[in-house]
Amino acid sequence: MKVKNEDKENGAGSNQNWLERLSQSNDFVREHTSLRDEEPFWISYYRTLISSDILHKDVLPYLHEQLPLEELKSRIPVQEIIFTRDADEIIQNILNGSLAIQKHQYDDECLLINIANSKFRDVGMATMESSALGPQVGFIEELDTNINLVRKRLPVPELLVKEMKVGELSKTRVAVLYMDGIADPENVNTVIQRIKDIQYDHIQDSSYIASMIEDNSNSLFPQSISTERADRVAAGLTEGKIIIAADGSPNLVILPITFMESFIAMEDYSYSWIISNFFRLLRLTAMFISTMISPMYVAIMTYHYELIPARLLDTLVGSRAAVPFAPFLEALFLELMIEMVKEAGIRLPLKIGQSLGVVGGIVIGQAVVEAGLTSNVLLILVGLGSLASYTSPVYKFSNTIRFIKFPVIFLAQWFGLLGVFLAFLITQIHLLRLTSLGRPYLSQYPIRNTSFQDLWVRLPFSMQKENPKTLRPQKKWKSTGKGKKTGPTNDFYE
Amino acid sequence: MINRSAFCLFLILLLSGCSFLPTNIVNEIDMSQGVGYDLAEKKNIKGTIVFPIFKRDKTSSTEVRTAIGKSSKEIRSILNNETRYPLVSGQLRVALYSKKIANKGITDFVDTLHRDPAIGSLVQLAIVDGGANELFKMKKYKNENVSIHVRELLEQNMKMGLLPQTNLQSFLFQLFQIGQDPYLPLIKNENGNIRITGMAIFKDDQYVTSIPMKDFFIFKALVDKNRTGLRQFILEHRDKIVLETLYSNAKYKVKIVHGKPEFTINLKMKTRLHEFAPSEKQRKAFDKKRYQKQVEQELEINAINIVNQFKEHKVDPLGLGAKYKEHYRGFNEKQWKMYYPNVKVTVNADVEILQTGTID
Repeated sequence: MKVKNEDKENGAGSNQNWLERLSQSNDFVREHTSLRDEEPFWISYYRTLISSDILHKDVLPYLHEQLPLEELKSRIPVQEIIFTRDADEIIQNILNGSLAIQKHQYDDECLLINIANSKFRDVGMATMESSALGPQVGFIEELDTNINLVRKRLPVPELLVKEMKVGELSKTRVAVLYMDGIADPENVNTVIQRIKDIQYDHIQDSSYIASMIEDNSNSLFPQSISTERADRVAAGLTEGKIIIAADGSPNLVILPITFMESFIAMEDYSYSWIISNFFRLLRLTAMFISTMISPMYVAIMTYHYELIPARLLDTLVGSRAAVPFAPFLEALFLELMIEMVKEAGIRLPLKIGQSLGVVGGIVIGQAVVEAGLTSNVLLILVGLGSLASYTSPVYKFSNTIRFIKFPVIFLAQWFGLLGVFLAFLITQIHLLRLTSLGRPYLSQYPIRNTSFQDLWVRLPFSMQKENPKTLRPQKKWKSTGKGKKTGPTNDFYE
Repeated sequence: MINRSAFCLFLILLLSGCSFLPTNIVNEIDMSQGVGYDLAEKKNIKGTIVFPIFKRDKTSSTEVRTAIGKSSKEIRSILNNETRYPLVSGQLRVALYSKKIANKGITDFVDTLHRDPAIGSLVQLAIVDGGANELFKMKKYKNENVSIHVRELLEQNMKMGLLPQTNLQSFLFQLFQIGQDPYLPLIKNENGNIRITGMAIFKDDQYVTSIPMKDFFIFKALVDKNRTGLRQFILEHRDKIVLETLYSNAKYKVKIVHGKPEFTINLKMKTRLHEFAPSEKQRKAFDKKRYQKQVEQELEINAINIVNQFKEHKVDPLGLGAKYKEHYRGFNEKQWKMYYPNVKVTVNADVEILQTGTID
């Protein structure tokens, strides 16, 4: 806050001030283009921000003649040229890679030529959300490229982009994308309003914004999807969802979303609807397995020995026979160990990470069982559970699954199966109350027929005719020829 | 806020050490899988408890312990004095009662089973011809879990064989239902083998009589809707025929004639021909109609015979009284008991041989 106040007090209108402030930095360059002082021009820029190529080829050759700045503006073959006197604007543009040209050293008016050097990596494969089939392209850290990727998929004028700057220090460009005529204007206004209300010094990633504007920031469940897949973004836009993109972030935020969307992979649409339904069900089951399997083990082994089938008794109890810890400590120990292996695998450099997976998973696990610290049945269950937690195609959501089992393990230790059920109940209540941009998150209630076209199940394309009702889209039908058979009518025969 | 969350964290750490309910950690309990009751001197009973001892990476061994006391829970507390871990009953799979104790009535010992919420209703009950204690201690089953053996022996015969379906739930239902007497399988140690020898029929909770193995087919057909079971019929001219039930259903009809009930049992059966050995070795196709008729007659006689046997002992495992009560509002138990020995029961069997095999 202090920085901002000083800005206002000292910066406005005073030429020398911005010069002084900027020249404190060593990479700031201020030069005169000719030897004599009264001749043009004074140029100032940040050496580290501009492209010297453009500077030498396209700008400097025009600076030898005595010309008024307006004339110069029309001559220089660079697109973004601004003529201004406003010190704030000058500072801002110079910081974004502009070259400032002044006629005299202490002139107020100034020509700003954008010759920013933007070096980014090329558009590459989506690494976090990879898929076997379907488009592989992933977003990168540059906003314009990302919007370009989306626009290529939706070449219609209805795709609108609203840009704003967020972050008092970072001045991050944030873009809100939506389809005019489909997205609910109320949603759009809410998102824009909430982004405008953000007061924070720096925004490094679109996830910052996502967590700042979400309805309940204390929830474990992400109320938006961060994706690096252009197809997911485009598909969301056509349904009436709103996308938030931030410069410097390879992830775009989709909202509002529902719970089940975290189990939908874009790959689902590449398969037959029957097979993709199987996968959706599999992912949902995997979530239950992952969150419930170790708590169930703790509950049953601690309290409910009656539930063990007679034929499993030997395996289950035999494997625990010499374990010195209570099932709770045993499970907590193994779960924490697996989580540590996972965490280390992510933090370590790529090449070491791979070998660590093997070391952590097999060697330590085997050793722990051999040492008699845990039962091998639990090792299988925990391994299965941690595997299952990664089936969700949305990374943020799989982290939620990873975390959520720990409180359930505690409840299982305190109350047995009652505790496990309590955890289920609390989660269910929480999910029912949770909203994403004011829309119901769980989408179980109220029941919408669109939820059974493409959410809980995916019907063939010929039967996915409506846009999801929970989003209150302005366009009800996906295709204008709603009655007629249009487009791919039956993907069964394709 | 920070104070509160720190307090919560402290509580979580503190509480995770303890639990709000009494725990039964699986490897710190001895799970009784079978119990047996025998009569002992001076109105005492001899209780036997079978429980497995688990070893790491080895198959479990079975421990059989016996104590004498007045009630089953007293026996358990006596036995607790000699076991490493507390004995618990949640894994109980089978409860055996000796014939002698069954003669005196077994409600007292079944009672504890259904009062304990840890014990499921699918526990198998059986009557032992001889001592339950001796059966559990048989040398042959020393390395095997004898209680699981008995349970699986009974269950496979109920599922695939001729033994009618029974368990704790069915026993209690039959016991408490007015107008029906329970029945349980009868097992015996025969030359070092555990065998099912018959069906023990109770009068209320007291063992009265038993039906032999050869009557199982018709008894099961009368009490269960079943899909299994094989039976051999020796018909006229010593024709031998073996039939397997594909479907059987007995329907009881009650008619009140002069204030007295009369029962008609319509037994419908669909069967498959398994074996056929005619007396006259002729090259003739299997005469389905003729043999169906003969089998029907045989079954009807068979059924009447066992009903008569029940009437003689004044026991009603078929639940005729209960069916009478369903139909007649003025049902009076005393009156019914008077009627029962002379009640008229007719059986109509309808046997259909559906499959005769590939070569005919």
